[in-house]
Amino acid sequence: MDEPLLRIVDVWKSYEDLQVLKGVSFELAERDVKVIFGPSGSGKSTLLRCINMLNPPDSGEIYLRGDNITAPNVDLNAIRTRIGMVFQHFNLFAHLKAIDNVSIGLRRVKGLEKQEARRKALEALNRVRLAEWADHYPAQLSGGQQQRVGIARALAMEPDVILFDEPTSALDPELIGEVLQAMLDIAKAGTTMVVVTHEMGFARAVASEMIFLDDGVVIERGTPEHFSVSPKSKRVKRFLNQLDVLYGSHEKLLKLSEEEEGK
Amino acid sequence: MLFQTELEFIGMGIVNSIIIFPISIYIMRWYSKKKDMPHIQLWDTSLKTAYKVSLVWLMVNILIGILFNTFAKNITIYFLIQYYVYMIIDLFIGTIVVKSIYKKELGESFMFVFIIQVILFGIGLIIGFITVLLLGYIFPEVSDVFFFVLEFGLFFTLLITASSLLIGFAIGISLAIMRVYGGKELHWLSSGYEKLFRGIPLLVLIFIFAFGFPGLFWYLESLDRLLASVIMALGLRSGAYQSQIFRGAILSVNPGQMEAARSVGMNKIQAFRHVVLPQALRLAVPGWSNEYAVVIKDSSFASAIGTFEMTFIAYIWGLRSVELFTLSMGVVAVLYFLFTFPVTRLFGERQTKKLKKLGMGGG
Ligand SMILES: Nc1ncnc2c1ncn2[C@@H]1O[C@H](COP(=O)(O)OP(=O)(O)OP(=O)(O)O)[C@@H](O)[C@H]1O
Ligand SMILES: [Mg+2]
Repeated sequence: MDEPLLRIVDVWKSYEDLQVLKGVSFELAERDVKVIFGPSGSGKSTLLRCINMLNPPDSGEIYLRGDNITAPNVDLNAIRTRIGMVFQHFNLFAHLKAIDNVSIGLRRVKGLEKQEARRKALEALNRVRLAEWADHYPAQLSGGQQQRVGIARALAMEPDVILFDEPTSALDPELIGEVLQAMLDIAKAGTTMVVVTHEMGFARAVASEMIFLDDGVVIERGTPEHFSVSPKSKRVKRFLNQLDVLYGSHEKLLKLSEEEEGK
Repeated sequence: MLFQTELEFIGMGIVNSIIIFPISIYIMRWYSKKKDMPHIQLWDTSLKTAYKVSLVWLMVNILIGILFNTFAKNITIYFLIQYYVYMIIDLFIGTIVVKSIYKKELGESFMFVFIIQVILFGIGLIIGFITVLLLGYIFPEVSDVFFFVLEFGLFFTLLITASSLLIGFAIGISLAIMRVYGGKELHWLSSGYEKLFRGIPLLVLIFIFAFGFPGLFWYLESLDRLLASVIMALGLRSGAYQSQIFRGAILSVNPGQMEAARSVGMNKIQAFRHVVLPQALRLAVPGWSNEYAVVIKDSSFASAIGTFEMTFIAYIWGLRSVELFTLSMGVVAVLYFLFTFPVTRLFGERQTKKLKKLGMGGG
């Protein structure tokens, strides 16, 4: 049977009288990378927060490997261990060293032994190339390093899918490349991801499908090629043009680091 | 009465540990920075080591003090000499205890810490003797009041302060949690408590517990009953203030922290216990050290109902003549100052700087 890893069916969500999501649906297969983009306020963050039930949707269903996680009486804490989240502003635990940021979930939620948790956390840090920074506090790390710790924190829990909410938009331009590189690496290693981002270079490199969200509605969806060659809707075209002006340079960053890797 | 004989030694032991503790931490920090010690490269690690060693030492201090006084009461010579004898025994046993506890992890760094403690102890010993002798020689009266107050008052002042702060801590943190996370009723209960206890003068509270409810501590001796009333009054009132301190601290932890904790699958309680609370406690340190200063100074209200503590002892001493009264109050004022200012400075300002370094509390 071909139950997708994540299936979102007609999700609606409002804050008080503001209708933010108006019937969003999509599916995500194992090892897929889905990129969601769209203007500010279109409901991208809200969608991600619905998916990991930090803000449960008003109506609609979300299935994770066939389990309806929007059903009543679901153990949301158990569900959230299967859905990683990487935040725009990192949200690292300020009082913990990088290694403890990564291992705390393994220890407290998964109940691993201290040594075992540490070993796994180091492994995760290694995957984002931060193993030698394990004993630093978040405030001692650069923004790019902090975000990579955030990625490692999500990775370490070995979730079914990781959600990224504009992981690079709070970063200085020169730090964006290393974070995108880390995301690229784990995507290529087969991690299933839903990424809210405006980094088209990243999308082109790994996304199997892109979704353009505006005003709580999916306006258009398609492969990265589709969006770069022949987007249908005017809104998308205009938005992509604006992005080019704003983000054009970052693609170079990414390519640069890819070349470095090739050497 | 409670602890009549042990108190002077415990008091001196505590004073010594309190004095040596910050000095040793500073020296270790300075030295480890200068030498770039392999085991103590990070200031953080050396601080933790120092805390562990000093804490164990403090415990051992108190224990040995009690033991020494129970078994060797009659060897009393001059109390300082006795005190140093017990400190030496204490040093030995402290070493063994600390070593056996931290053997595996500390290795060399333990020896390093210990050696510094020993050197400091020696310095403390010499400085102590010199000051005591000099003080006794040049200002015999000052020296008399000073040691009289230390001997009979300090322990109780510290006991009252510590117990009240502890009671206040338990109350304060529960109220703060109720107020931040609780429903309407809990919120109402906790803010009502705060308003009530902040609205009643401390002296009135003490009188209420000491004489208003004579049966309150029926199982204690009469003097201890008064002591318990003072602790009760100070503790309940401190709870009201500490509740505010902790509420502010909890609220100033970035909400993103709670979200991130939930996103790795922690439930609300785990997220609070492992992520929000540890940060809130750190954020509360400056406010809390201020509360400590308030409580230790307000413990002097206990003298109003004749409970032994520094102020009351100084008061009794001074009653004999006007000059002595001025002198004894002056000395006790200096003592309070010594116990408040350095502590609030150390914990308040240092912690504020440290928090800034950790980027906590939303700047
Ligand atoms: N907790 C909330 N309460 C009320 N309104 C909210 C809340 N969170 C978001 N909104 C509103 O919902 C709308 C969608 O917000 P959302 O954060 O999902 O957008 P976004 O697409 O992620 O935008 P951005 O690119 O700025 O991050 C916005 O108008 C926002 O003001
Ligand atoms: Mg957003």
